[in-house]
Amino acid sequence: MKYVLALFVSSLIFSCGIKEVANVTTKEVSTVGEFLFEGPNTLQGPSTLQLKELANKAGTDPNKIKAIYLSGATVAFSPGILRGSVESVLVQWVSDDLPLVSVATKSPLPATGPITLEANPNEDLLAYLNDPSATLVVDVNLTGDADQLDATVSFDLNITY
Amino acid sequence: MKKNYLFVLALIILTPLFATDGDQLVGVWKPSEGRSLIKIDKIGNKYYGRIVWLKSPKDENDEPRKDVNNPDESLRETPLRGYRILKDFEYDPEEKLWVGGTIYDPRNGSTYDCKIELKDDGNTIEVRGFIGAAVFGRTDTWTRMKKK
Repeated sequence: MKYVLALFVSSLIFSCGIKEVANVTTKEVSTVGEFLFEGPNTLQGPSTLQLKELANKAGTDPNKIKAIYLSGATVAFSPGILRGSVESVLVQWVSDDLPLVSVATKSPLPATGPITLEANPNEDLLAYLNDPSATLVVDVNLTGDADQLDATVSFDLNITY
Repeated sequence: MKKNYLFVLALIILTPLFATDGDQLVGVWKPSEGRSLIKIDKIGNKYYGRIVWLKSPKDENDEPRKDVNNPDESLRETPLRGYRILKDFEYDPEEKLWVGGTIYDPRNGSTYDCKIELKDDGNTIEVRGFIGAAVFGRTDTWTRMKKK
């Protein structure tokens, strides 16, 4: 009986400590900037990622999510934009209540093919993805002027629950 | 055509009504060392400043200077030109200060608490970086760049 009890208690402790991690690729988030000049510019857009949607993809409940970390990110620019006209990309999240956090960067950009960013795996993004006022900010350095530039960003997330 | 003129006229009249005292910080500023220019703009209700010009934009390998001292290795490839060194400032109308933000020093990769005060001339700010209490810090005077 003593052994059964010990086994039960240890399995209970062990099960409480288990964390599950789901890898989820998000839909694209759009950002836009207008009247841009050569040099540093900013594109912005509301963060349209919904925690509920991410939780569904991860197969869990939004309330059970403990942390969300970035494992990868890709960016694509509006068709017609010459690849060489964008020198660098820095993706950030911010909201009225949360500080601006840098999550992915690339410099210089590859001449061809998809633009895979260097992801910052150290920031927990749960609070940002849970904040309806969150904004995605994409800083770009341009080699020339542009009337408008659109960028879409998608993220690979590790969701811990 | 007449409608367009009326719209532009309304915009000119109404725009100052939407600008707040805090927006006086928006603009391009030159730190005392003169080796960079910082453009301060607003995202949501907070103010951010980024490097828009560097006196020496290239490193010893003739490559754009990057944030090589960032404590986060994943961000060390980010170019310094365009980097946001001032983050998350909010305007305190009672104190007439921009507070709650941070300033990043790319020379050593350190981030400090920071507050900003606009001097009476409207074209000079005192940027004070500190750790913990504001008495332990350093103040730098920045000058507003104006269009010629």
